Amino acid sequence: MNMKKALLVLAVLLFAAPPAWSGGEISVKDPWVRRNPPGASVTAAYMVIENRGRAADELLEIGCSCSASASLHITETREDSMAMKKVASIEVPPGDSVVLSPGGYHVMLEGLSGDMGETVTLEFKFRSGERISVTAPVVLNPPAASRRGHHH
Amino acid sequence: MKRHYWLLTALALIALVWVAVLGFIGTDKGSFHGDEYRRPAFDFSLTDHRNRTFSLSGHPGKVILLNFGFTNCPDVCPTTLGMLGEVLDLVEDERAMALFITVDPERDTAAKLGAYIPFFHDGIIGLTGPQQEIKRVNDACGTFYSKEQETQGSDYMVVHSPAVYLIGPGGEVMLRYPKEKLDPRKIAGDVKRLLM
Repeated sequence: MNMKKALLVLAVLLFAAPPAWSGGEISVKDPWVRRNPPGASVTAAYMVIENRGRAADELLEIGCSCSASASLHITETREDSMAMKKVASIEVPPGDSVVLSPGGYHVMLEGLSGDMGETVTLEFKFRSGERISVTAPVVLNPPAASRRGHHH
Repeated sequence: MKRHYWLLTALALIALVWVAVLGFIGTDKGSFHGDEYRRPAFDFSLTDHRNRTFSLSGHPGKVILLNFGFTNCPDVCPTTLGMLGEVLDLVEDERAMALFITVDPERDTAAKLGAYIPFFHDGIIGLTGPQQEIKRVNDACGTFYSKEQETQGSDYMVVHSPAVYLIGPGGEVMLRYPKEKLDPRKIAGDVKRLLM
């Protein structure tokens, strides 16, 4: 009887758990937003996105409380020229993380609404259905943690 | 057997001395951190962020770091400007200058640069002016820029060089720092050496 109950609980857990577990699979770490210089209507946000799950996930959309629009970009540097390219999404492989840092992937924030204050809220939407909201400091220089990330 | 041993030791010693000599010559020559990039001296005249005329020939004997960019560039341009500010703080010499030349003069007026540039460092000079003059500076540095329309909307981006160029006291482009060499301490080292 007890065994049967235990099995039932296990079965329920197995079916019910995956959506609950996925809640912790994707996380956003060390977010920061570059304080926009006066007169600049654009700036960028950076962070590390970690996927502890067993399946790949994809960052589809980002929103910021500070700007009219937020889009995913990558800075591509060739021998002597540099350009920013819009990307539709950023894939985060399972058991891996993707670093958004100056000179690489970044979130371009356009149409800034005046003074950004000390912090802004960033909202992330992933293909898995995951939605994450984080508070990011608005700073001049990358915080120490993301500088470390920058050097790999 | 013993003779072979001595011969090997002697050879090893010779190799060691040779390496040491080469190493000494190498450091004595003291190569720069920046890539050597000698191009003929040139001049240009643009408007600075305080709305005054700036001519390269008006600043002889100075070591000038030059970077191209535009204020609507959110990622790399502010990073490089911050780096140039750090170099000026490390060098602390009036004979060292940093210039930011816009590649988007349509939007980057002197007034706009006046609000933008001092945010990074008081010593950085923002420059704008006619397209042909900005193009001439790019040519002199052996680089280029081009406007690129975004797929949607009226917004555009300007593709340009991420490098920093060092103009020596004689007005010639001497060194080039590609993206991966934008290290403020090492660039400051080059500037200090040239000002010695």
